[in-house]
Amino acid sequence: MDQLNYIAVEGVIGVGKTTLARLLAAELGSKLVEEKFEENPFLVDFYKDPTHYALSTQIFFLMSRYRQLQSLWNVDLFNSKVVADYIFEKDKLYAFINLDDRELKLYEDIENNLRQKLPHPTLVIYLQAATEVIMERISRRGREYEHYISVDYIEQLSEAYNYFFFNYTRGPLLVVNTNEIDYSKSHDDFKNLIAIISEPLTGVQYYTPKPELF
Amino acid sequence: MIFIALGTNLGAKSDNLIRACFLLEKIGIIKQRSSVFLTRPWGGIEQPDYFNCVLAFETLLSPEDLLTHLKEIEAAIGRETGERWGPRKMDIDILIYNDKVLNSPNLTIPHPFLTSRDFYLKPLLEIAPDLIDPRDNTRLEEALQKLNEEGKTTILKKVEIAPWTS
Repeated sequence: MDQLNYIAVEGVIGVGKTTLARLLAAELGSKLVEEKFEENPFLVDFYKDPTHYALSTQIFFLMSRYRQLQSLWNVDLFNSKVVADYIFEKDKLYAFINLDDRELKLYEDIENNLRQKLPHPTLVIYLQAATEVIMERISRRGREYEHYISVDYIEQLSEAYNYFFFNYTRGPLLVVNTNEIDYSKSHDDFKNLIAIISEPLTGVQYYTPKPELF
Repeated sequence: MIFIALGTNLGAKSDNLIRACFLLEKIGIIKQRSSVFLTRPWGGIEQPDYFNCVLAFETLLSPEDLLTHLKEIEAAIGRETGERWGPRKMDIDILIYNDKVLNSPNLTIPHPFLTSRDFYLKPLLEIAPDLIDPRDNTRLEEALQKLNEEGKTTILKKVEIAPWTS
């Protein structure tokens, strides 16, 4: 699996994962794996009544993510590149927010078993942004079900992501500060990112594309 | 190797840690990060619990110049306060700077409280278990053991998976 060039883009809902994943796949000639997101039949109910619909929503996502990433084993592992707009572990971040203790135990048991059967990304790109920036991006793109997302939820989710990736050691990680940039609008910023990921990366690198004064 | 400690107890704590890393990578390279520890505040003043961790860092800056930049980073993160988002706070300390021993009015290296604060020693030893105190060539591991034996500890736990889980 080492030879498979498998990049995963991660970040809080609305930060711009999918946009970047699509750009990367086109640029690198990679197969694109997009999270099947809007198809979860529990999602609209979940945003209205989280307690009631949390476990069904989580299990649905878990299985959907698992099946999608499982299909990567069918890709020609030595000659193909893959770009995904999520990592499997993301599911657990949401589970920790959404589920109660009993549900979480059950969930973790399933998640552990599934995770061991999946390939690992050779590079993870974590798109980071301040909560206020993410809120603005969400309201701008205006997806119907996302209107039910509260600021507190995004704040909590954002902290979960930050915390998870601050401690992430499973492989090379590039943390990109996207407060000031939008990859769909600036080709130069995208070119700079390509240059950075073309270099071999071990461990973690924190990257701020725009010079931020301090 | 240079070791610096991050501590934050106000605002979105994990976000503060990552912001500090973004800014630190402008003046050097982060080689390694310790786990994050949840810590009781030190000094008996009533305030929220801290997230503490230690980074192994490489930079061409002198200790004095590094200190100047760290103060600027602290101030930059502390400044980022919108009304909705409340105050932020970040403390950044130089613990060890290679094997330098330095006593100037502005800066003492190793950090004067290095061997009396478990929230420095524990994460530090996690990423550099064999580290020696350049002042007296003793193993820092022993200093941590002593704090533990005397019950002078502030660490509540290592933070797992998500910041709010117990």
